Amino acid sequence: MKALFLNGPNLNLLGTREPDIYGTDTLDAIAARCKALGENVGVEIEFLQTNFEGQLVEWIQNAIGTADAIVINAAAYTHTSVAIHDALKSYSGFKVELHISNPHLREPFRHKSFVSPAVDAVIAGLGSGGYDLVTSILPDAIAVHR
Amino acid sequence: MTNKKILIVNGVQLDQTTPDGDRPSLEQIRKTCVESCRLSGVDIDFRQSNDAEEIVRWIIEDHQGLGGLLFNPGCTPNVAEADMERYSTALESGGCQDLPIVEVRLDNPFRSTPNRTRLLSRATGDIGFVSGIGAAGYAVGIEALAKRLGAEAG
Repeated sequence: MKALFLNGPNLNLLGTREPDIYGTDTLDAIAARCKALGENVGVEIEFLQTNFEGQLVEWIQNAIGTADAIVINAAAYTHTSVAIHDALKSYSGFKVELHISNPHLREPFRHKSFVSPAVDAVIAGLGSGGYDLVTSILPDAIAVHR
Repeated sequence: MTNKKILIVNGVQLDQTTPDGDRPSLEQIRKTCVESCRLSGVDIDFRQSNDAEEIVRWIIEDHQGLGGLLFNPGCTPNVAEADMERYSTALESGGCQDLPIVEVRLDNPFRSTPNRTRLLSRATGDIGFVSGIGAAGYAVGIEALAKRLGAEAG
């Protein structure tokens, strides 16, 4: 089994950017944890980050036929990107939208997600530990989805 | 030392299964929760009600001493928006502000009813949200709450 973890804009600053909201774990630390946990549960994880919307679209397109699941934290593009919505619609594997905080409890401009209607599952507000928890459910979720 | 307890509240119509068999039964959900709480070393108080008033009473009267609240208000078409507002108001009431909370939904409500979905909210403190993975969402929520308790204790 293979899963793609896609991370959007500003997540490269994790650990230093507004730690009261996003925590002190760096994205590299989270990636290392997910890869180790993935190995334990039999899921090979590719963990990527970009600040560019089109790059996320290309990664989603490339996942078609090559990955069993996508876990996407589109960060700010969640609330703006029809392009990411469309790309996710064309991917038929298991899809999870993931956020560190719960966007629905923050500013009104974060309440609308273009990602949510295009994915199977939405997980938010569990801190950076949400990445670990998502990793642990992937084998069963992929199996059920097939 | 006694274990911390997690209150698991299931809302309207979660005692009923769907004709297509897509939805896990309340008994299946309960079994998942009992096992997850056992693995996480927390005590469990598992409840279900179709009466929003009763649920509000549970939140207000029974939150003291809890380690966390796991709350599935129900599937979107079945839950009145006014009830979501009442639940959220109850979560603002005395003592609940600091209570760790995870909202669980069996389905991804944004897929089926994107414009009618309301989530639990409160002015202070985050609320975790897990949806779209069926009964496994309860296990994820319990683990998240238990980890938070462990971090606080340690």
